[in-house]
Amino acid sequence: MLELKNISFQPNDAPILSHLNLTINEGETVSIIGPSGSGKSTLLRLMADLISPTDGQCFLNGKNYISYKPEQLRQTVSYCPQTPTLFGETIFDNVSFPAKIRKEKCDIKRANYLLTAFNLSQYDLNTNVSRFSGGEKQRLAIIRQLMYVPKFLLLDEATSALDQKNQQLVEQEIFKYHQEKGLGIIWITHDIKQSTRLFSRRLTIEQGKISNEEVIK
Amino acid sequence: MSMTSLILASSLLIIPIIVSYKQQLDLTKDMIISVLRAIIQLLIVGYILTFVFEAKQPLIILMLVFIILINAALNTRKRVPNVVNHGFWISLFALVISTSITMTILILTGALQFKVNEIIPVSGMVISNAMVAINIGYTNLEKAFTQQRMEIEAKLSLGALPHLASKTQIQDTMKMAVIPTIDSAKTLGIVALPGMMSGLIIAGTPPLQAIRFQIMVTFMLLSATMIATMIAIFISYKQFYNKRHQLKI
Ligand SMILES: Nc1ncnc2c1ncn2[C@@H]1O[C@H](COP(=O)(O)OP(=O)(O)OP(=O)(O)O)[C@@H](O)[C@H]1O
Ligand SMILES: [Mg+2]
Repeated sequence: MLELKNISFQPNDAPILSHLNLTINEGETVSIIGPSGSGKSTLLRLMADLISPTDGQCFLNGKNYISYKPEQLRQTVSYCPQTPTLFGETIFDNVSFPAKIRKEKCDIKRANYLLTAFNLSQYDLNTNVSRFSGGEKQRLAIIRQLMYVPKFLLLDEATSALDQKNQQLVEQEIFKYHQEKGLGIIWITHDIKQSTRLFSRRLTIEQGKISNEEVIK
Repeated sequence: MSMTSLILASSLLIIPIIVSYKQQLDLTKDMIISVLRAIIQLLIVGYILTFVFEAKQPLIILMLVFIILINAALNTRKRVPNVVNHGFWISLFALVISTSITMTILILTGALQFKVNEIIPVSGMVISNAMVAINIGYTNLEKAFTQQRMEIEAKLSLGALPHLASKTQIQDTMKMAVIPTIDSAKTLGIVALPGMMSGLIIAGTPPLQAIRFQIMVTFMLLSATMIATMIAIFISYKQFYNKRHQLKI
């Protein structure tokens, strides 16, 4: 369970998030919508402990974030950034990074499975990524995040550069882990249809506050 | 060389000043100040050296080396990245370690004698090269962390420790700092007849002996710049992160 209690984030004069309260249960699926600049990415970065709130506290399973090692927390609550940034030169450099973190061998079979599931099967692990299109980058970045399935996956407009068909492929694969492994999903999107299609709850963020909260199914 | 020829040779400075002015490089002031500083510093040092070369006590020699070290460390402060605290001490530490290791090996192997007229010029060379390497290192470290913030943060959000998340940036920074020394070693004799060697030859040392000295200098500069940048970069990169392993910039 993720809990944010009275969270504010105010690095300078103007608050970006103010007095925000939010509880997300294990295995819950939540979409987040809201105007540009309202603080959605900031909220997810806070949840992933990439920044700390200037006021208030975050809890994972009832324990304060500061009692976890940052790395352990980020492997459990895993944030896929809004702008996909690829590592190194090849697909392998990217899909093997999570294994490198854990000092394990890269699961090549899983990498190839995910490449196929995300419609990138025309490439192999040695393919150079420097010419990848925006949508290909997005998909590879999500694959990287799924090499080890976290407890909560935080997606920041993860399919914004994809066509309808690829978008649905990605959704299907991600929600498969929700059904099979109880993966919790928190997904920022500007696509209103997408925000109601698969999620159980939808939050609207406006000017750093949750202005609306709807239960969808 | 007479004093008059030297003064006339200063006309060479007109060219960079004009280029800097025309291209709006904003370097004219810096250039004039640095030249004036160089002249004054060298004059003072010239007098001190004349006096000091009489000195035989090891303590005086070590003290002189230490003064050079302090000055070099002070000179790195401007390049220390904004988020890094205690830049002076980090640089001084890196310079002291790299200089002591390099100089100790040179003395133990008999390549150098512990005499003021050998120790002072050679350690000056070591320290100034290490200082330049540290400065390049600082500048590139800050650049790498600022420009590649997103990559580092993507690695952090997968659960990487700071060292792994910024490994590429640290490696690139180290390379950039040491490459000038490596490159100049590659062209020794072909492009550059280095200052010291030329000096020795002009002063009448047989070329083969001067070259032996130069080869030693090349070894020592490679080792010193590598050690110094490694220490300075490895201590300072950590300060780009806070306790929660979040990027400060
Ligand atoms: N560390 C920071 N310091 C100062 N301002 C910040 C910081 N981080 C974010 N901001 C500002 O906070 C506001 C919210 O940013 P955020 O990225 O959370 O918006 P968003 O809702 O994700 O927008 P978009 O839909 O365009 O991605 C922006 O105006 C941004 O400039
Ligand atoms: Mg955003």
